[in-house]
Amino acid sequence: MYRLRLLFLLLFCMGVLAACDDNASTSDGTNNTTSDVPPPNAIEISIIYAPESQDYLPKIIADFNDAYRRGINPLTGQALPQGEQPIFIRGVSGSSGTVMQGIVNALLVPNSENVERPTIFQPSVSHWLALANFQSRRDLFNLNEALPTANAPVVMAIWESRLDAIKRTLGTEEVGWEELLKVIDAPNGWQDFGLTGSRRTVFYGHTDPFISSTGLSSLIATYYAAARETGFTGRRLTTAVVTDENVRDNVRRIESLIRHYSARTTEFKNYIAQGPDYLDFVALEENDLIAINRGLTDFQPPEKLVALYLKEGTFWHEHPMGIVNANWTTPEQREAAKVFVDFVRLPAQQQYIMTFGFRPVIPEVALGFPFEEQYGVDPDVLINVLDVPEPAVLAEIQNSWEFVKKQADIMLLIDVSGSMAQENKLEQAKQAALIFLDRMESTNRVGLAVFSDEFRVVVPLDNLETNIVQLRSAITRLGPEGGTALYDATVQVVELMNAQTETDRIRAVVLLSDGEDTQSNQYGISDVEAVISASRNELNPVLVVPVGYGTLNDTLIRVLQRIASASKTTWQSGDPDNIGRVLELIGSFF
Amino acid sequence: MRRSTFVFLIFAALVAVIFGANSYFRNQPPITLTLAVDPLAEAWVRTAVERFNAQNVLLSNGTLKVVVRVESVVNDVSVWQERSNWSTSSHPTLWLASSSASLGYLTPNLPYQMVTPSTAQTPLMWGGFKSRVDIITQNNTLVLDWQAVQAVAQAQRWESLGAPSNWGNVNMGLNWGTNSMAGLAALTSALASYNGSPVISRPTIDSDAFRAWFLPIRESIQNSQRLGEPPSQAMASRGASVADFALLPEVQWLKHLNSLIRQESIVLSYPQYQVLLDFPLAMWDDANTTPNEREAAQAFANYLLGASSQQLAIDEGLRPVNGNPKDSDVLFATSIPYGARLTLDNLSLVAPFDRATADQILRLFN
Repeated sequence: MYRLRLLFLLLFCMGVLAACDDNASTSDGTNNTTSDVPPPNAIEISIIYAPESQDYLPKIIADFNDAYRRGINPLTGQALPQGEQPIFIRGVSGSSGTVMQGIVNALLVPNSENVERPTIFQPSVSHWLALANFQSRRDLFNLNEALPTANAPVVMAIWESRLDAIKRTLGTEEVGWEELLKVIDAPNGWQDFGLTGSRRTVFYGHTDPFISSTGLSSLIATYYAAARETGFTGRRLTTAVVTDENVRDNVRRIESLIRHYSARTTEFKNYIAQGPDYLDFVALEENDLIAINRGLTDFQPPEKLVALYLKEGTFWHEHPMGIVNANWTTPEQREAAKVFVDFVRLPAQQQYIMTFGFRPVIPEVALGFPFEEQYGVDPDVLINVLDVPEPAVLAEIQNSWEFVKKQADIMLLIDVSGSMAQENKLEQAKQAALIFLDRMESTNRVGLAVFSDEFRVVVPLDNLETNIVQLRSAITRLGPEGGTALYDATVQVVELMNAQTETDRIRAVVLLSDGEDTQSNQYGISDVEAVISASRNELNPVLVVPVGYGTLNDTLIRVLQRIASASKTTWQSGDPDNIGRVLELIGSFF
Repeated sequence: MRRSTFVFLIFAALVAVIFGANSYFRNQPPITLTLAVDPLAEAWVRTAVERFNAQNVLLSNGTLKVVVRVESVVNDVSVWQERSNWSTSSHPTLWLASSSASLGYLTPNLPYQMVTPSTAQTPLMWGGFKSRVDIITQNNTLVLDWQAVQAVAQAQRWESLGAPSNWGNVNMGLNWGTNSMAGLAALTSALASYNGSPVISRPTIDSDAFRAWFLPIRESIQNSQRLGEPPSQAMASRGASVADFALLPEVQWLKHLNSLIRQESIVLSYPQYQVLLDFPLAMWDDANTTPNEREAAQAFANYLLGASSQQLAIDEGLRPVNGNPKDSDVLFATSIPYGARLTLDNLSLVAPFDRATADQILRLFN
């Protein structure tokens, strides 16, 4: 009898544990102990999705997997028929351009560092799928199966006061590049538009067209606007048009407004949220603009950013799910992928996705929160959509980037004081600096300066293709010595950059230091702020991007913040583990 | 043995036989027919399959249950161009294509045989946002058809036709032909209209004159329409920024009509030269196909052609094989004020053509 009771007790405990497990598997999947374990006999597939989808896809993936784990078909909500295999999907995010290249590499250069083999690739926009087919010379993606999953137009996010000033001054409600360029051409810039006390110059930003969908779409839209100025009246850009030097000159003129670039919109939306002093307008997806106005970024915007749907036209980012047709996907996996795509397009998922600022792809879901005027968007806007050029033309536009982008003069200013010897910091910083050089476009001009007790230019500014060997060698030979004359060195390097007379280049200093000033005898922090602010109204003010390195005390952090603030940039924190990533991020500015 | 005992034993034996037989038959595996269906018929067929399976249909020997399972949703063109990866060892048993022409385009690699030539129908239909159609038809002085559309496409931008500049380019919607019979059908209608004849002439397809006439139309179709989203659905969710007007199967317009008119009022009409998609049911029939499978396929075909299933088709915006929808059928009744018709009289159907001609027409999309 006792044994029987014990057996019942044991069975009861097992039942409770099983119930607990069931509960766990129905959670949102973020802390789910079973979510990474596919059900027995499952068809396993994978997806790499655009960074902005990170907001919503993990939960949708968890819900999808959870349904199958409970023996439910997630499309019908009914029990799986006998013999139907469950599906299990794993997902990660990745920048569209990088992932596209990784998938193409998997076919053409499988030994490359960047190789990706997903079942589904969800870029922000279909341009990448067409480019992948073009580059791989095969139907890697059947575009007809690539269904949109979240819609967002690319907009110009502009401060409301700026847009109102343009409309008021020019007496038009329709604004596009034509009107934005009038601000640049005005002798006193924004001040001629009634914004007294504002900067005269116009600052614009967009992302890297090799990595970011918004960057690629912005560049294509810029080419359309530039081509129209030369009299192009066609509806689709051609290779002849995008290789026309007159068109490229016009593109360069627009790119001359660039304050700095960035790899991804994920970072840019934080930069612009700092306010009109930082940037006047930036190309973003509409959902990013909504996120900024909802206060979901690191900075609270000082006024409302509004979506300018450029009158010359823009693109829809449809976030299509391309099913990869390559030797690492089986027909069975491709069918399973279609099931997942259908699941994402169901009303419940579309309703959820909309809460993150994406327009639903199915008309059954009516546009609602957060598509409200208070978040800077026009829910009923009629978007003038530009036609996507043929893949060969897209590739030509991408390849032109090196020749039309705004070039930069960058001085690396590295603290080599004695404290940098501790914790192997200098060696790590040198490695990061070498990586920084590797990622730099060869048409940029780069120099190297150091400071300890004194400021010293080690390698003068020059085209990277000319001085790369000298720079690498000099960086390798750097050794620690002396104290930290941070203020003296910063003033001197900014004066050096101010003396650069070419006005069509980004001018920037990347300052890397681990300690507070101990040695300056000429200048203080106020002088640093003054010298940086002096160039603020120029077309290309000197940007100082401070990187605090190692264990930082509050005093140094405040100093770096003041330097960054004078330059309207943000300071970065680096340590031996992440200094490579930090400098890579800064490298993407140029 | 007492008589009552004998009767009881006989009764018990009978019960045992009935239960045993029932149990035996229930344990017989059903005949499962896998089915691939065209996207245009997917919604209808999924519901029909569900109800068919719930009916526990048995074969004529009374022992085998028939179960149909929708295995994939596939466009005809990818099947007959053999891009669907179907093979002798891996293929759906049944294929509900969008057009019976597709069956004629198959090579011997795909031995599908017709089970029934048509299970539902849908014609091509023009549709467009009213403000755009008013300009195309010059406020109803022209017919919304290829000639008027070609003239507008030639203008490229609405602004040059007197419309506001923010209307942008003239954008026509079409199912992309290299993937869909509906797209091929639309081009066929264009060719017939250009020739003024329902007979497709192959020399016309490659003629400079036709290509020059067709070029502005081709240019007016945005590249983004290569994505698999039905144009009517994209227009319903994103308005005229995707397409201003389109030539699509009627079913696509009807299914999204309520959402479309939330964007702006719609005008619908039928092209003069018409292609009717007829949704045949076909079966993979080779040496391994059993009589039971053939009987099961016919049973499913009969079910699709039955009154209840045909009504389901009408409810999903498809037309029945025989007869017409009624004014009580919601999707059709709702669309009548915008230009749809319950009956389709005097259609000038484009004459059937061979596979080589179809391939030649599809090259217009390249």
